[in-house]
Amino acid sequence: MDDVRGQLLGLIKKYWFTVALLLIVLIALWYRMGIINNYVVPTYGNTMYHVGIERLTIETGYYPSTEISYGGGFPNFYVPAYRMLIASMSVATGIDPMVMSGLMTIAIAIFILLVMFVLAYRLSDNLYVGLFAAFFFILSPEITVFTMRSLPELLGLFMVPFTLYFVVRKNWFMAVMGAAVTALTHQMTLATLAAVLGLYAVFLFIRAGLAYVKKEKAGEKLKEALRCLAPIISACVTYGVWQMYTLGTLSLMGTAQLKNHEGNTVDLPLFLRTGIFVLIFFAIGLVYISRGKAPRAEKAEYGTTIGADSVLLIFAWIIATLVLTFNDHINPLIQLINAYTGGIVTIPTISIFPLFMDRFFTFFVQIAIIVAGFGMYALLKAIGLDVLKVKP
Amino acid sequence: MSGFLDLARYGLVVLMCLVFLYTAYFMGGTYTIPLTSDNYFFPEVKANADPWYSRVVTPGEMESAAWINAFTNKSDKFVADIFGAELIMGMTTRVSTVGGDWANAPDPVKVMSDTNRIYTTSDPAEAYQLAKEDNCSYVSLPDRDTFSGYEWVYGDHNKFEDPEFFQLVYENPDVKIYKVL
Repeated sequence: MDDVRGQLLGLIKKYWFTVALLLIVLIALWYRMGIINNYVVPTYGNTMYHVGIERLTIETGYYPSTEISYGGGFPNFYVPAYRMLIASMSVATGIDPMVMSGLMTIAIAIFILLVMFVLAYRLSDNLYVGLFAAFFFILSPEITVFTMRSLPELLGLFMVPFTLYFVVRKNWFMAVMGAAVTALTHQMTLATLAAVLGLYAVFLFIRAGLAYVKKEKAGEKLKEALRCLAPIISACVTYGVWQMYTLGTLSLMGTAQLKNHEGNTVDLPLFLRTGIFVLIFFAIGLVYISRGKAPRAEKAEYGTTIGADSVLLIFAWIIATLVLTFNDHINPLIQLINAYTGGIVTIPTISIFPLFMDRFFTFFVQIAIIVAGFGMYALLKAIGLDVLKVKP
Repeated sequence: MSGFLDLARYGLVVLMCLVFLYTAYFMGGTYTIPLTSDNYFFPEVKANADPWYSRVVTPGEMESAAWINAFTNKSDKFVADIFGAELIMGMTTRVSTVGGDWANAPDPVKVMSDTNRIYTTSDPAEAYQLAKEDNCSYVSLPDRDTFSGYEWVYGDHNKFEDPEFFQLVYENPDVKIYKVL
C-alpha cells in the first residue's frame, strides 16, 4: 500500500508542473473554441477586412498594392506580415482564409500564452514564475479580448514578448529579426516595441553613465546600451522602407487615425479589465521585483534570479506602456506645466495625442500579467510552500 | 503536524486558484466600482470577453456572399454598413462604401455619413443619388441594425422598393440586395 502511495506521490512530483501548464493551455483553448464554432469568425475589429486582403492575395498571388477599404483604389500601406501568414497557411493547407484566420487565432493565442510563460521564466530564472504568469493569462479579461479575434495585433502580442525574450538573452541577431517582423506586423505594436526598447536603452545609458562616474566597467555597459539600439533601428528602418515603398512618404500626419485622434480613454472600468486578481498580484510582484537580491539563506534553494537587466526591462515595459496608455493626459500636463511656469518656458504640445490609448493598454496588461506571476510566487513563498524550493 | 500544515497550505493554494477561475468564468454579479458610478461585471473574463464574440452579421448575409461571387463583377461596389461591408470584402473581395482601414482613405468621414444617410433616409431619390455619387452598383440591406461609423440604426427599408431607383436582385430572410438602377 505504501509502495503504491509512494509511486503515486512520485508521479505527482514528476508531472504536476507539466499537467498544470497543460491545464492552463486547455482552459485557454476551451474558451477560444467559440471562434470557429460558428458560421463566421467574430467580426469586431475589422477581422473580415483582413480576410478580404488575404483572399485577394491568394487569388492574385500578390499582396494588393491598392486598398479594398472605404471605396477602395487608394494605396494599401497596411503592413503585411499577419495577412501573409494567414494567406500562406491557407495556400499550404487548402483551407479557406476565413476559417484559417479563426484557426490561427486560436494557435497564436496559445503561442502568446507560451511566449509569456517563457519570457517570465527568463526574466526570473524560475519556472514557477512562468507558470503563474501563464495562469494569470487565462484570468485577464483584456488579454482574452485581444486573443480571440483575427487581428494583426494578435500577432503583435506574440511578437513583442518574443522579441524582448531575445533582448533578455542578449541574442541581438534574433532581437533585430524579431523587431523587423514586428514592424511588418502591426503599426501600433511597432510603436509599443520601439517605446519599450527606447526607454530600456535610456536606462542602460544612464547605468553606463553612473558606472563611468563610479569608475566601474563603463565601456562594457555602454556597449550593452548601444546594442539595445539595434532592434529599435531595425524596426524603424524596416517600417520606413515599407512606408516609402507603399505610400512614397515617411509622414503619417495625414492619416485618418491621427487627424481624428482614434482611440478610447482608459478609464477605471477599462483599466480593471486587466483583471482584478492580476492587478492585486501585479502590485505584490512589483514589490518583490523592487526588493532586489534574494537573501543569502535562500541561495541553496531553487529561487529567482532577477538580474539588473531584467528589472530595468520590466520597468521600461511598464512605464512605456503606461505613458502610451494614458497619452491623452500628456498635452493637458504640458499645458499645466506651461501655466505654472508662467511662460518662462513654453513646452510645445504634441499634436498626435490623444491616440490609441485603449490599444496600447493591452501591452501594459501583458507585462502586468508577467509581473503578477512574480507576485504569486512571492505570496506562495511567503506562506512557505515547500514545492517552490525544488526545480520542477 | 508539519505534514498536516503542508497539506493545509497546498489545499489553500488549490482553493485559491479555483476561486480565481470561478470568478473569471462562472461567478455572476454586478458590482459598483468604489468612488465611481460605474459597474464591474462578473464572471470577469466571460462578462468582458463574450460580447466580442459577436458576429453582428447574420447567417443569411454569409449565404449571400455566394450569390455576390456568382452574379456580380469584381469591380462592382456595394453600399453596406461596416460589418456587412467587411463580410463582403472577406468572402468576395468586393469593395464597399465603408469598412476596413480608414487610415489613408480619401474621405472616410464623408462615405460614413453617406452610407448612414442611405440607410436612414426615407427619400429613395436621396438614397439613390448618394449611392450613385459613391459609384455603387448594389445596396446590401440586412434585416438588422446597421453601423456605418456613427450610430446603430435600423433605418427605412421601404425606400428601396421604389422601382424607379432600385431593383431587388437577391433576397433571403436575413438580407436583401438591390441593384442601383
